Amino acid sequence: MAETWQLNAREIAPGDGKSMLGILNGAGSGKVIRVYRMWMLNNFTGVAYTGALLNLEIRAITGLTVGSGAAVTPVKHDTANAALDANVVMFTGGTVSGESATLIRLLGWSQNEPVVADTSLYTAQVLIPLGVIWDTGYGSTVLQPLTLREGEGVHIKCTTNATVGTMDIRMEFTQSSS
Amino acid sequence: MADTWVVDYTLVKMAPGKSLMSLWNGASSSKVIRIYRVFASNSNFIGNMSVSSNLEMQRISAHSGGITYTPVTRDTANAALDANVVCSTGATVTINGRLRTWQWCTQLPTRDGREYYTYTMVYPMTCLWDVGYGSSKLQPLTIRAGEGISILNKGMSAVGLIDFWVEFTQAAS
Repeated sequence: MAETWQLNAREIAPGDGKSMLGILNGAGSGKVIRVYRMWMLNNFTGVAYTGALLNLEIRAITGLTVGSGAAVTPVKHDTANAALDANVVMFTGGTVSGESATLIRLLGWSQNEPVVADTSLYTAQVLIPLGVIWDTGYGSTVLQPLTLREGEGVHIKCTTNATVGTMDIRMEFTQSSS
Repeated sequence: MADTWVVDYTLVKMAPGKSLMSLWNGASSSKVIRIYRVFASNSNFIGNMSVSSNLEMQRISAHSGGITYTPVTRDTANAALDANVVCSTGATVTINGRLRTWQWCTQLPTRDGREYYTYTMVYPMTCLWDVGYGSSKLQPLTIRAGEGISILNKGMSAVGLIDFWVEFTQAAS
């Protein structure tokens, strides 16, 4: 098995052009990062708010710094794993560079607080199986997962001008030497 | 693992009888393309109108014209995609078998929506083809040189937008 990490970024507020969550395998790592699955979940439980429909995009990047954002620490699936290479960084609200002009995936999202006994889409977005936004290569021995070599990364970017509410984003990835 | 690509056909405009998306492995290609999964999603919030239509996924035996989209490699260490592999919308195609038909509505999704057209922006609910994915026994949709697939708008819908997303591999045989 490959050494596996779970990245759980909580309570990310949207913003027009904001890098909601990014991961970069920085130059010098000597490692290959493979992203198997990603989720977006509507775990908001605070004061009721009126949100908006959001578009988000998955895009490749070549640079990522913390900027005015925040670092997120992934959790090992096995504490016996080697440490994650220090050149592998993950930020919410980070500053991105080298964003690819070619879209990997366009996403829609209903931003509103979930409501008890409701069937709206924003409430259904609390369900983990419905929150999957990326699973290429998961469970397949043929298809490649999203492979990040040195100097490569990926981020989820909000492209809608809305700032209320929050969402959680999760990534499941492996680290290996080749 | 096989060299893998994904292609996002973004903001595809509906039109009667239109090949909304196509993936064509040209006759001069030395590669075999295998399509593992195809998705259709309602991710566009601009100007969509309420129209239901039958869409149909087909095998095709000829392909020309259209507007092209660029696939993204899953690993930058992969060999380049054969230049004869083309991903298009609005191409002229020749049908060579009907694979699957389903109903689609291009209505604008809403934040409070409970309708199926709103749920068609939820990724796990948008998969329309996954034969062979995760199975070592079933064949994916195998596209040899001079073959392709297309999704046809069989209805008269002339308004609205739709996204398609295709996951495929390229191999020498």
